[in-house]
Amino acid sequence: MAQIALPGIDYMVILQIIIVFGSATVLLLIDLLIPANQKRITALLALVATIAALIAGPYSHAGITMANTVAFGSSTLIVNSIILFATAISILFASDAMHKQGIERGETYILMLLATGGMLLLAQGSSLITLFLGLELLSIALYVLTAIAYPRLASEEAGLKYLIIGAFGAGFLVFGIALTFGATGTLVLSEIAARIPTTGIERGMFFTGIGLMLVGFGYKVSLVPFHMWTPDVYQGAPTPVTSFMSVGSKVAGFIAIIALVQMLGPEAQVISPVLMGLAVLTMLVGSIVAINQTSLKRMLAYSSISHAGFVLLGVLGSTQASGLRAPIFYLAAYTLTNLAAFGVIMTLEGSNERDLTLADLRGLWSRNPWLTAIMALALLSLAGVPPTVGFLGKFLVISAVWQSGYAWLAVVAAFASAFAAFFYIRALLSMFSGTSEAPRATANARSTLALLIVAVGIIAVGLMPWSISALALAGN
Amino acid sequence: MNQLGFPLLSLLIGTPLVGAVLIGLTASNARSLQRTIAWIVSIANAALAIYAVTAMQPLGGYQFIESVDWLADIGLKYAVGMDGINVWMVLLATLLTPLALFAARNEQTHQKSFHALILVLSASLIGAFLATDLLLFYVFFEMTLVPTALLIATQGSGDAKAAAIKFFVYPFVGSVFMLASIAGLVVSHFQQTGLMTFDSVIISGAVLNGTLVMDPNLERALFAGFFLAFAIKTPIWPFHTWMPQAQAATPNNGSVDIAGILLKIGAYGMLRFALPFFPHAALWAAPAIGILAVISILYSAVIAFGQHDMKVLLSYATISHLGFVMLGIFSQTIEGVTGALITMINSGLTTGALFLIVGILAAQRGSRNRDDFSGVWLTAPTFGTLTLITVFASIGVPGLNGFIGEFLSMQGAWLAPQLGYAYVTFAVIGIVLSAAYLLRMYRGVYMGAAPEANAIHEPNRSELAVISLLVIAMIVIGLYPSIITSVSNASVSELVRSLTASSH
Repeated sequence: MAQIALPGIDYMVILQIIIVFGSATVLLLIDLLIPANQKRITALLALVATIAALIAGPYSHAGITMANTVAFGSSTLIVNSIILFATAISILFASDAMHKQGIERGETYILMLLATGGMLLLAQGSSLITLFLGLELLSIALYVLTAIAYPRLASEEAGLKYLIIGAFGAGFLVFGIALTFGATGTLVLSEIAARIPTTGIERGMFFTGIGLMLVGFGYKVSLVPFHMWTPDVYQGAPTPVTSFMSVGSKVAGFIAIIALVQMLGPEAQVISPVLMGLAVLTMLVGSIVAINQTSLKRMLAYSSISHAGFVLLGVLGSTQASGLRAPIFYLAAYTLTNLAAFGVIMTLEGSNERDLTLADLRGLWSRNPWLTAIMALALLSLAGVPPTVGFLGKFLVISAVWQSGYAWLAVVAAFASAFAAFFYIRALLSMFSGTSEAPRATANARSTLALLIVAVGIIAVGLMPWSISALALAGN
Repeated sequence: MNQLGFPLLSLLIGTPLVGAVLIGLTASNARSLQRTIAWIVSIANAALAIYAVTAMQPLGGYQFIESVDWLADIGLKYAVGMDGINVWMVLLATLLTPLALFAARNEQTHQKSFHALILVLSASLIGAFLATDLLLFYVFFEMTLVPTALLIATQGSGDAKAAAIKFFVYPFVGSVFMLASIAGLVVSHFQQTGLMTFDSVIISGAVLNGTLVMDPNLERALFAGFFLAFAIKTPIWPFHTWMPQAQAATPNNGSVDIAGILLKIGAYGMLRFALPFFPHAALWAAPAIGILAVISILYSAVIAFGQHDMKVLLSYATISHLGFVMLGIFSQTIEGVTGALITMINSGLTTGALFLIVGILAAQRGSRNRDDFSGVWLTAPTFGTLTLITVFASIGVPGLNGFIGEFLSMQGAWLAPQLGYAYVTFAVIGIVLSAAYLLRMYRGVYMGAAPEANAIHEPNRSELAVISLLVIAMIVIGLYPSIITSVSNASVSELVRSLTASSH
């Protein structure tokens, strides 16, 4: 009987992943010992694990391991940091909001860690199998998280919807992987890049495979026309979960798309018309349909769709000299901003289970000036108004596509951003006009800290972009 | 560091910002403290601006330059500079800031946010005037929208929120297209010269010496992005619809309007950026833009004639003035550009004074409808005299400031080969119409019999003193315009020379 040779593992390459999955597993046991009304201890432990993983980033080794399936490099470092930062902030938010809503469970934080591990695996994956594994880990944890507000019906419904659509998307992805494997005989991205068929049926198979994989990831990052689930799931899921998935799964999904595009190299121009079409549709549909929304969470769902279109522009631009800077900076900006916006919404919800609408923002200035200021910053950053971080992200993306020779896409982006300005500014000015009888919203120390961090980030990174762009640039 | 040894321009931008932050930190009922901070900061800034005028050398090119890398790997800089053109815009902005505070002296509601927002607005305007880095200019240009929209939303009456949304979104739409154009311009410059920069001096220099040559269609498309942003912001017909609605919703005292007339960055940006970057496209589009400018002058004069709300009337008068500014700028002659510069200053001074006057009237009567007044002259003769001089200045009576600016703008348009006398012929009708609507307003409000009860009485001494100061400035500029031109000449002629050199 032949011996099965296990590939060698460089643990320092997968250090962050090990910390996250390892602590999730251990926490699962510890959580059993923590009484139901003390679950914030689980939150604290999960937060410590996340911060430990964040600190471990610079100590990880660049390289590729486990039979070329997992890699770590300087651009991975920044992406992993964005993901872990988002997780840390989300845990802080969740431990306040879930508690107020009476739906706090220890599993929440463990599932968040597992989803984070999946995201890290997506970001570090250098083989199609790892990408699939990462996506599924992330998705399964998120399906459960979406439905965690049991027995709230909206949450159950959203979870089921997300599960069905997600399974559908995963089907596309697996079939795409199979076709690509059939055409090239390998699953490792770098080897596929060297073996892209130039003629014949294999070439057709290969690009069909790539197209199907794009569809699979397109569901995850909600590109139009694969976005239908987004508003319903965002609205139905508990807000801390919405917040977490709106940033984490988008960042991770886009990193996978970027990995595919980078793998194609010069051949990327075969799929660039598809990417352009998706980007245009996503930007325009997201920002136009959002105008019609009254629910804040639905509005932000469409806003996140529109932002996905902008990131895709950055991905298109990344084939040129400017590299990954534009999309990665945009994702970082989006993460900070969206966390701030959802953080304010969670604080406003308090113990209230009702879905907040635009009318609930009325007169917020007169009762919660600090929350209003943070929300205003977030909305301005989402609209791309300087000096916030969102503005620089938008500018970098627009100049990246212009540099790649797609000037018309820059014009479409300008149109989309003009439409989007309307609903962001309407929400912003609502907060400053009129008065309201509603009681003051209060935030505990944990979510106050989280809100402060993201609000300062929106301004500080906007004014001092070199703080993260140097890292993103290093990923070239 | 610049030749002064201290960062004058950053102080001009930073002082109001620091003031705004300090006001933000005060308790919301510490009214007198907020007021004191705002006054000290705005007067200190005006003093800095006056110092800048006196310290300025009458040379072309930027002075007091400060430049720090901002995002070095894409060539982004914090770069500010001052020359004979923007020094006047900065001075106007710093002088009108205390005027806006003065106009709001009796307001009690939202005092804290009002003072802080006015200072933020002032800082972003000054920043926009001083920025020489294109993206920095854009940052400040956009930043002006936020405080103004918030001022309208918090201070305004009626449907202030709708007006504020329109005020924000309409100019924002224009400026995102400018952002796309900025990207296109910078990328074109990068592709041809290998240098990634947003420095307006370097880019316009490359256009001038032919190292940056754009395809005519590309140049026109990029120019269109800049033009749209600046035409909406200025505003000129048919991009003006946000402005009267916004001014109808702002408070009666005129404070926000005075701040609003600071928004000369549209015309300034046209002169400073759109023309030097795209001289061929500007020359190509000049006849069409000239027609829009003339329509602006005539259309808004006709609409103003029918207005009963005096503030809305004044906002149309502003649009009419800005038509002359556009005509002067697109003449691309020394006379025209100087006329445009002086008209921008005048529009700030005279319209600012008129908004203050309407605010005083409205505070006594509780209405700003001109039909609610008559015979003010009989009970308030000093006020009436000062108003009359201001009205004359706004119409363009010789000997006062309005005349110089409009005359030079029209002279420039006449001399310019791409415009010519036909434009001037129609623009002159605009002056006649402005005399008609302003004098009709004056006659209705100040002449006739005074009402039996509740007659308008003389404003208090400080109010009269402030209006008198503005009137003195109008007379001084009217009689001795070289107080402006001696400082601006070198910069204007350098700008015009580079325009004509690169467009032929």
